[in-house]
Amino acid sequence: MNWQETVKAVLIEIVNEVAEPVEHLDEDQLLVDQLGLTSLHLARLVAVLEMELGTDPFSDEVPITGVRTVGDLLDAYDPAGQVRLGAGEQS
Amino acid sequence: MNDPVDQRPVAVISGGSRGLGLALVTDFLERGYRVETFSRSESAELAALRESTDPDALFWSAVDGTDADAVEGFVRAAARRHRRIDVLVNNAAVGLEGLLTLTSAAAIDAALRTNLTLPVLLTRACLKPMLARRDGVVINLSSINALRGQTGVAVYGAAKAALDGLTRGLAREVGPAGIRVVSIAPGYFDSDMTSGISPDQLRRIVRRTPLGRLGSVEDVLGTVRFLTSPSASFITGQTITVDGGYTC
Repeated sequence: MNWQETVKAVLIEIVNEVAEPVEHLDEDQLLVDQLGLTSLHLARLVAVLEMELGTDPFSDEVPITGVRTVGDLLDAYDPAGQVRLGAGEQS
Repeated sequence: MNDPVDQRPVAVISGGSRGLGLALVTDFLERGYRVETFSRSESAELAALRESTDPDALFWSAVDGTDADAVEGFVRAAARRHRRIDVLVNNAAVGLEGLLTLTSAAAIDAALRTNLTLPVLLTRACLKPMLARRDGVVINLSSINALRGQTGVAVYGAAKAALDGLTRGLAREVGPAGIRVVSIAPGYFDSDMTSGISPDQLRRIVRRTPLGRLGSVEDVLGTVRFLTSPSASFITGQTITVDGGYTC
């Protein structure tokens, strides 16, 4: 499983704890307003992904408040995306 | 190498090389836990315990508790090794005695780093694997000095009171994820922390204690055992005072 599949699989697992089971996620879906995640769900998501991927992009360079959609989340875990978002923070 | 079939729970204990910390390490091992602990240096007692213990059950690292990166690195390594952390005991602490106006800013800063910043950072790091498994217990070792004023330990008491605040706030924050956070406030018990108290003062403390004796390490261990057991599964956000009634 590559990092994108891992992020999506963990996200689906946590979304399924909250509401009606889903099998597919669109990148423009809103994590909080549409998928029903709370800040504690997001914290758990980050914790599980740190265990799975060995990285927490929100510990330094990327603010979690900037992550609103499924696509934002994927960007945060994309090594190239991390560079992009980190550069944005400094400007 | 990780053992994927090792289902033993994991306890992280700060300051496990001597005193109550070492007693906690021993007790958790006897209860079937794997234990991760750290201290600045290894005591002879801990070295002897490691010699006689399953090397897959007891892990010690030399970590300076005031080094935030080192503390977080220690937890990351523990989480990677075991894929779980079930219990955190924030035990490490340093005493700081003296009138506030006669205490240096450097001494105050050092005491706050060990007694408050370290447990906050350690808790933040250990909560991640706990959140991932939706299970865990954080025990903060507070003090009756957090509950009652005492001359000469205002900064120590302030840090411990702040730790109790951490307990209450976090209990609300992570309770929905199945994680409990509890403080234990021991009274005066026989330990390095009370070794500076004169025999006369100790006699006075015993006279004022309804149960008529000083506390023991076993009194604290028993409370930790209870709070980490299923019997305490509905207790969170509280400070449990273990002082023979001294503060009642």
